Amino acid sequence: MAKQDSRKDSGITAGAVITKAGSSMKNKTGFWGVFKPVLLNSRCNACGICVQYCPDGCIVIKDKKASINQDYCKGCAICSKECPSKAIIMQKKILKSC
Amino acid sequence: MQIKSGRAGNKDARKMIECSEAIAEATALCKPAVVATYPITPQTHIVEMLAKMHSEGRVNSEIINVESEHSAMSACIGAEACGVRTFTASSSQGIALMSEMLFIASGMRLPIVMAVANRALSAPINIWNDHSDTMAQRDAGWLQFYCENAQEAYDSIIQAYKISEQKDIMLPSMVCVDGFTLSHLWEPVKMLSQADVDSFLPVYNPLYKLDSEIPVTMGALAYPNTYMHFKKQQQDAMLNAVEVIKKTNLEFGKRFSRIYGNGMIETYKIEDAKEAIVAMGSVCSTARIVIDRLRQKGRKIGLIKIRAFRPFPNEELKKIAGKIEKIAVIDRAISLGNSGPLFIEIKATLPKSHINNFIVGLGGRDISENIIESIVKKIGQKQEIEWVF
Repeated sequence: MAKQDSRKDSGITAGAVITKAGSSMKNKTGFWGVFKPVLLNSRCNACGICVQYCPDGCIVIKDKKASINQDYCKGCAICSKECPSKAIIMQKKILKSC
Repeated sequence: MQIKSGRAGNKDARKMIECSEAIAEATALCKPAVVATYPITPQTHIVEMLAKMHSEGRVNSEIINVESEHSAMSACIGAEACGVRTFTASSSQGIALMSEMLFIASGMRLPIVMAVANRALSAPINIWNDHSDTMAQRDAGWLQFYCENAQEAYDSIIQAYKISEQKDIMLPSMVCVDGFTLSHLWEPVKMLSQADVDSFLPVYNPLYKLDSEIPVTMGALAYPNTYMHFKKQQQDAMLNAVEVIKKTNLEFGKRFSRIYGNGMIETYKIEDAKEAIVAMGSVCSTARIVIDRLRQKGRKIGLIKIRAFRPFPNEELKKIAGKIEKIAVIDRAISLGNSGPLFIEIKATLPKSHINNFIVGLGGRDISENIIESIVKKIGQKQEIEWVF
C-alpha cells in the first residue's frame, strides 16, 4: 500500500529518536480501520455524547453537527453504539487497489 | 613503521596483572560516567575492581549496584540515553537475563561497551568457560570481539569505545574474554597512560540525548512502515563497522605499537599454508604452539583467529582462503540441532573449501595441545562435525 511508505529512508533518525513534537499528528492511523463511521446529518442533534466517548478524540461539534476526523478514526464503532439518535452508522471501507 | 604483534612489545611499561583487572584499568582510562555493577562468576573481578578504584578515588564514575543483569543493562541504557559513556560486565546467565535489553541497546543505537567473561549456560549449571552465552546473543546487534590474551582485552576495551561511538556506527560492543581461562589469568600487560587514551579516544559526543532543554522521544513505537528501515540502518551500521574496526586497529597500532591482524581477523603463518585452524579466543594461543611444532616437522599449517565475530569478517576470509585446501574450525559452543556456530558462518562464507568442525572445550573442558594435535590429524576427514573430548 502506497500509503504505508509515508516516510522515506532519509527521514528516519538513528535509533528511532523523535526530535520534534507533533509526530503523532503526522502519523495518520486512520487506515488501520476496517469500518468507518458515517454521520446521518438529519438525525444528529449535536448532543456531544459521541465526542465524549470517542477514544481517539476524533469527533468535534462543528456548525451544530458532529464532525468525524477519519485521519485518526480506527472504526471502533463506540460512537455508533452510544449515539441516542442513531445518527452514526458504520460502513465497511472499500480498499482502493494497490 | 614496523608494528609488533600484541604478544611482543617493550618490557619496561609492563605490569603483572589479572586480565579482569586489566579490563577494569582500561575501562577506568575511558572514563565512563556510569558503571552498572552486578556480580556473576567469572566476571565479578572486573566490576569489583572498578568499585575498588572508585573507593580509592581513581574512578569518578557513578557506580550503580543494580539488582540483576536485566537492570544492569537497563541502567546503562538509561544513562547512555542521557548522553554519557557507560560500562558493565557480565557472564553466562547474566547475559541470558539481559538478553531483552541487549536488543534494545543496539536498536536505540546506544554505544555501550560491555566486557564478557564467557561462561557456559545452564543446565546443568556450570561456571566454566565456553562461548555459548555470547553466541546465543550473536543476533542482538552488538559488535563482538573475542580476545586471546589480557593485553588484547585491555586494548580492545579502549578500541571498542572508539569504534562504537563513531557517528556512522553507534552500536554497542561486547569485549569477550574466556572465563577463568583468560579472565583470571595473570599476565604482564603493557599499560597506557591517561594522556595516551585521551589522545586516542575522543570525548563521547552522542547523536541525541535526553535533555529537558531540548526534549526528544526515545524508544518510540515503529509501525510496519518504518520498523524495517530501522533494522536496515542497524545492518548498514554493522557493515560500516568493518572498515572502522580495521582503521581503529591500525591507528592503535601506529600509536601504541600493538596491532591485532587487520582488526577483524588475525593470521599466523598463513602465507604459505595449505591447512588452517580457525578459532576464537584464548585457544588461539594453544593453536600457535601446536602450529609451531608441526611447522618444524614440515607441515604447512596456519591459524586464522576470528577477532570480530560481529560484524563477521566475510571479505577478509575470502581473501586469504583461496590457497588453503583444508580448514578445521574449532568451536567452543554448539548450536544444538546443527553444528558449531562459527563453523556455520565459515561454511557460508567459504562454500568451496573443505571444512571440518570440531566441538571442544564446552563447560570449561580443557583444550590442551594434545587436543589441538588430534584435531589437526583429523583435518580433511569425511566426518564433518566431530566432538573432541
